[in-house]
Amino acid sequence: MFEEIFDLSQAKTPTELIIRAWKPVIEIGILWFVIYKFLEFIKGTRAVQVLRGIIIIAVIFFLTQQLRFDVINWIFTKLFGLSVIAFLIVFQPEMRSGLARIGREKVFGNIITEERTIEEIAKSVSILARKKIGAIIAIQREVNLEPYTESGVLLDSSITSELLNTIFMPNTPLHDGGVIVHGDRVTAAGCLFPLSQNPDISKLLGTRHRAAIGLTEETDSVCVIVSEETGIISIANAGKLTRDMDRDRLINHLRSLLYRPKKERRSHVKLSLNNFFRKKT
Amino acid sequence: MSDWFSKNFWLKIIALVLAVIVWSYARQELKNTPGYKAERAPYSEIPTEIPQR
Repeated sequence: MFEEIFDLSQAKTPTELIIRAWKPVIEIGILWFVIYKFLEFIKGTRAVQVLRGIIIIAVIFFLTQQLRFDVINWIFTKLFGLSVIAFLIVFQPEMRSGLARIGREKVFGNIITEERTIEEIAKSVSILARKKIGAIIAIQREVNLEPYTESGVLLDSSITSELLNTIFMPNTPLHDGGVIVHGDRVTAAGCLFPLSQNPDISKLLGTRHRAAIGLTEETDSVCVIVSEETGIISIANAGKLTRDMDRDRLINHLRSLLYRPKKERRSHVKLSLNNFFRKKT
Repeated sequence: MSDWFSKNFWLKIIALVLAVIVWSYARQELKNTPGYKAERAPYSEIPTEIPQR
């Protein structure tokens, strides 16, 4: 098999030998990366169950071909076209978020969020939590949240805890939607976020938490949520919720997700390589 | 670097096995394609006309 892959016997010059040996290695390396990323992406999702189903069907299809069960084989061939459409319909949400994730993995780009933003958000949500006033604040990172700002009211104001508290004050026009923050600006308030379709989310969590999870599933934003019932502060990131935050934990968590001081900013190449290998430095 | 290897180790191995299978299959299919010449053949050896069935 080794000889079959590399086919080295036909090499006439040393250069040709190197090309013959390395080209398949690079090609297999590219394929390996794509397959690994795909498997990593679907790991732990319901797509795994579907993949198992597809493998079983593929095995049956292969057996029917080998055993020459022509009628069954014909039915499978016809069903294949339909199954592609069914797959697209069933996995439309996963594919949408997957494509968005691919799109937002920029090779070049920095996440710069003002330290002041984190302080003001933390100050605001601790007051709101104490008073048990519900709130949802989405912090934009690299993916533009403009489609969601359109569902709310544009503000473009400098961020202050007073402004955030005023927005979420009950019985005011903007209090029910989400606030979008970009850099040190509050870009919009009263925004509608997509609800998560994840069936594993606890039924105890309300629409606000579901919307925060939904938004972070579809974009790379980070959401801070204050529960109206319990006053618990939570952070949603990449479709996952971290609950029971106090002010200090919230600040540290937000810093780790958003803020990178200038001296620690790495070169674009190193950053890209680290993203590539998901290696934590 | 050892962290990177140990994380999702079996997933990486499965992906590698699948990659080799897919690559070998694709290469075999390419070889059976009419008009396809081995990738490093001099251009003069590549037929200018694809044989018709």
